[in-house]
Amino acid sequence: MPIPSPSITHTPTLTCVICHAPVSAREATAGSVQLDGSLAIACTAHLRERRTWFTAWCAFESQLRHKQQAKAANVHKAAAR
Amino acid sequence: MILHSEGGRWYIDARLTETSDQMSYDLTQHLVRRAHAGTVIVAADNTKVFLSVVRKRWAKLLYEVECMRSSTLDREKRESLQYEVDHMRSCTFATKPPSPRSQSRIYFLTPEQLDTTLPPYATLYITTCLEPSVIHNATRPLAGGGVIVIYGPWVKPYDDLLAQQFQLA
Repeated sequence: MPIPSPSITHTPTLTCVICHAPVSAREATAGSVQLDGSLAIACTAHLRERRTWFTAWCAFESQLRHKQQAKAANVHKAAAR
Repeated sequence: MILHSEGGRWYIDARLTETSDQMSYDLTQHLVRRAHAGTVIVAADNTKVFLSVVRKRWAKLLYEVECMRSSTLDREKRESLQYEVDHMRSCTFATKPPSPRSQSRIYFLTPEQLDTTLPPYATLYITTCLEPSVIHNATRPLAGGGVIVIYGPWVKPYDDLLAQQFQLA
């Protein structure tokens, strides 16, 4: 693939949400959204393993939902106090 | 390959596939994830044909996810896969531009249809060559932190326009 414009830089450090290993921007692909609104990233290799791709992302998003619920519950408790 | 500049508005995911079959396969798997993030727009030449291919792949994927759910005894895994199944079932597709009344989440639009006013969205898939003016117009409502997925070789319009869009105002 031709190299894009030099004004566009690779994201410096990325961590795969599936295998939790550092991944280079060249080997990364965009996934869904993290709790803080940032982009969740995974290794492109996982996209080719259908089972891993689905089960791992589902587990990741399930964890996010639980964290969101816990956060909302804490806010509710703090407001009640 | 992910491209993103420090403080930039969007992420660009540049993907190279050899055949259109591979592209529709790759796009469908990726689309399931990005559909969680919000409205998706897919730019394609022949939207009706491409949508029918993606729909078939989507149905096959849905069946496979259901099989994954059925084959696990882990309660948490089952719940997370059930959520995915429900999400995939709830996704609706359209080949008409978004309107205030439309309920669809995934739009397959031609370059001509992209040259209209679009509502805010989270992901743009580019599967065909677009004119710089069309890219400029189509990316205007793309939300901050949104993703542009480009299939095929990197061409000049992406370089010029998207490089500009990456710089902070």
